[in-house]
Amino acid sequence: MYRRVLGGVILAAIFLSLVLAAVWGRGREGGVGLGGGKVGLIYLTGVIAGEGGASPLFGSTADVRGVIEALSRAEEDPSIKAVVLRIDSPGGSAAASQEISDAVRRVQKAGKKVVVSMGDTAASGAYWVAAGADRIVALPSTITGSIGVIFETANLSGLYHKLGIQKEIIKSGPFKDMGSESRPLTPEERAILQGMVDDIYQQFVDHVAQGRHLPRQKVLELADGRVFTGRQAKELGLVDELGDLHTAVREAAHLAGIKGKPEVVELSKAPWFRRFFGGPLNGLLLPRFQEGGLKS
Amino acid sequence: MTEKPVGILELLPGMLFSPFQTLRRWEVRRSFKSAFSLYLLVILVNGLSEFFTLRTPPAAELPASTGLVVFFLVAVPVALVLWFLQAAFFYLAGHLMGGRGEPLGVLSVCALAVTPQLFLVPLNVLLVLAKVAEPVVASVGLVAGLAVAVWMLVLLAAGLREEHELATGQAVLLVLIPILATVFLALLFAVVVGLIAAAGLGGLK
Repeated sequence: MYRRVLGGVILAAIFLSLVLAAVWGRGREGGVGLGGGKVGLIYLTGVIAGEGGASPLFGSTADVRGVIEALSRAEEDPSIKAVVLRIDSPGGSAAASQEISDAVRRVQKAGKKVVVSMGDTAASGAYWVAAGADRIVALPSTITGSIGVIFETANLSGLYHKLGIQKEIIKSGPFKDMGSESRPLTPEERAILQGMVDDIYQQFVDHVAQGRHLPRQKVLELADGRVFTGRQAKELGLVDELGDLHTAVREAAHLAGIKGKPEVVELSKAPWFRRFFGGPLNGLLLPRFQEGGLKS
Repeated sequence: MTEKPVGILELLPGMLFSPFQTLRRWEVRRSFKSAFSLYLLVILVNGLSEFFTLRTPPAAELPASTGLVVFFLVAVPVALVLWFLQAAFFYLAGHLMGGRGEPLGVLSVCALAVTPQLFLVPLNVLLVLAKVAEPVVASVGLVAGLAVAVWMLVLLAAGLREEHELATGQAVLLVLIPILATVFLALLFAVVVGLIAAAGLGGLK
């Protein structure tokens, strides 16, 4: 009888230890414990392109897929309480920017705070990504803004003529080769493309107004494509605070209620092959139709 | 002999605080269900406590939900398979050495021998609560882990001695055979790799 009671006591002690381990173990590292938590750090560097990937071999476009995967990890990992998105990008594809922005929103919906830290540049599409964050921290000399959309196509018909090149095009509809470099745009094509640019511009303006809690009219006044310094942007309400990455991490920890010095975990570590070869390898591995040339 | 099986509540303090006396009892080694329950309890509790308290990869990097799924779908079944293989080896090798143990008895001994791992559960929690530096945690964990591992081997030898009715030296040898074989194979592998490397380097001349 005595041994059974002792066994029961031991069993109870073991389960109590297990409960303490569950509460304090991961909690201390930022899990379920009160006041704990990690800040996930994600880098968005380079031109934002659909199938990008920063690579020492093939130039510097942002690793969009890597950033989205990192944001998904932050969304799912209960120990991550806040995310700092360090942006150093002149912008790029509107769709890719929108995709990252959607991933940011999912992180926020998971109850986590997202703070953007702007580096040298966070303009255009990069500002699109930033606008949805809970807070934006910029350096006083950061180049930001450039709220607008641009579509570029070159008319090389004169050059082709000089070279004796005549492009033959067989198409299923009158607008299938819209934006072709072998001829100038027709008025109808120009109107269609302008309509697309205007539509994406309106989406951009709405996104900024909503994300920054600014009146739409004020955003429209700022959204003529011009760039601002970080300090100007703060005065205009496009950023919240001036400071560096350290400031952003501190701000993220504060917003997430993390007490003491937060543990910062870099989440955007891509596999070595993607870091080395970047986007071109991804493109080779996952071929897909490239569409659109709209940049923001 | 038709003695009543020993329950897990009796086995637990027995294996923790008076293991030699406990393993000597025939009815303990025939209480397969209780031994199996204790084994499951030990691997579950110890595995979960390590998962909750470990701060080193891969456990620390896994989200809790993923880690738990991996633990229950991979670690627990693997532990059960290893337990069965270990018991099968000790049953066959013990009989080759003149032992007379029964399969369920050997399985029970192998299961009961892991009980000291339970000592690591409160230790893990204490290390977390003490908020000591990571190197201290690693060092204490290593020493405690080694001590528990040695103690488990001692209990295994004691249990197999009783079950197979072997001499103590034979039982120790039986337990050491897999370890010595592993060391021998590792050395053999290192020598072979060394020879291949040496031959390869020689070919470059």
